[in-house]
Amino acid sequence: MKEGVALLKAAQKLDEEALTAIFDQFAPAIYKYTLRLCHDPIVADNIVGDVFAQLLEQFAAGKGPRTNLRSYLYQTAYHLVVDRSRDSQHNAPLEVAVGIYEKGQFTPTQTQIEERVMMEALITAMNTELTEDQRHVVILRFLEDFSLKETAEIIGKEVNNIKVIQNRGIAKLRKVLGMQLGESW
Amino acid sequence: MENNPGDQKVIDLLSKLKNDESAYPSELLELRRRKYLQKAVQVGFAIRAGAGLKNMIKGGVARLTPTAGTWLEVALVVAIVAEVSTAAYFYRHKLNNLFEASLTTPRAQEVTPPPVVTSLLPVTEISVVPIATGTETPTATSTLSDTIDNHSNSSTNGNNENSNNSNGGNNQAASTPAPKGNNGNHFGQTKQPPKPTKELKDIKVPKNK
Repeated sequence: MKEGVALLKAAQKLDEEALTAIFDQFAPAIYKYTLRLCHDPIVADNIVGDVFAQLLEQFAAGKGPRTNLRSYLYQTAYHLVVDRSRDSQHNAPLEVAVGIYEKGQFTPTQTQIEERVMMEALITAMNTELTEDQRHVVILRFLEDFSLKETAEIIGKEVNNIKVIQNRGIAKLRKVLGMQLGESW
Repeated sequence: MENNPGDQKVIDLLSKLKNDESAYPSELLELRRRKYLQKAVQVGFAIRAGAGLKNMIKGGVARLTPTAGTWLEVALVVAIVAEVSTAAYFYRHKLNNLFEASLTTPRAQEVTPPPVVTSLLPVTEISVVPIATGTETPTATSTLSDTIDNHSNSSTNGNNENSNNSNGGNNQAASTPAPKGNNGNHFGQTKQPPKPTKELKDIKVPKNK
């Protein structure tokens, strides 16, 4: 299977194999990212469809990403999510992300219980305390592992601005978790 | 930022959060994948078809050799000639008329007299009978001679009238008599009666009579 730049070049020529590979590689990640933001599996699925449809249109028009396909797809997804949230004024919670901790059938240990409590507090803080920009930056930087530069490209801001947003977001989370969880913070 | 232990704890928690298992539901993923591939095929087909057409238009003519180009020209000319000939054959009558009309010299048109309509009705001739109108010329008479003249004139006029009446009125109207030097139309030229002489004034009429 082609990878990296070769995959991108083949996709630009609308090679079916390359296009399929791109979908298989990025669709689950985009779905997860979108689901974190909008908390609706159907909406997340629709946004994935829109993201890849736009990608096809861009390739057909001779445009589209030249280097970083992943950033490009996340950027498209980010814009679609923002547009939808503006339309519906929907506050996107991150409750879906807790699924892993709710599915456990085993008896949790003390550490696991503490960790789960912290996770829930963190998710609540992200949903309620952070601004939209801070939430996007925190998700892209720490949940999707994008670099500062990539995050800046996706959101459409300067790198320094992203740094500031990230620092403020983390500081706010720390403060909220410290207030909720006590002296250990 | 990352020097702060509290911040580092938050980041560690966030990195744990990213390992969640909220995966794409398989049925949704399969459906989405199928739609995406369908669209990819459509777009690819459209692009290839468009590119093929463009190549045919652009490259098709450029790839022709000079000989083939000449043959193509000849074939086109022959086709045009054949088409024109066919059209001329079908419209030969109209073309013939057109040529005749344009080639013949223009001639003077012969003017034909309008047809005479002879009616069966008898023609009645209408003659206008002039009406005689007598005009009297008023004349002021103060002298004896004038009155005699007028009287003689009137008598003659009366004779004339009588004669006119005896003729049954078929005679032409008599023209107005000559004004004898005084037509009466000129103001100030009528003859003035002679002024009474002094001798007449001096005659004394006896009162006793």
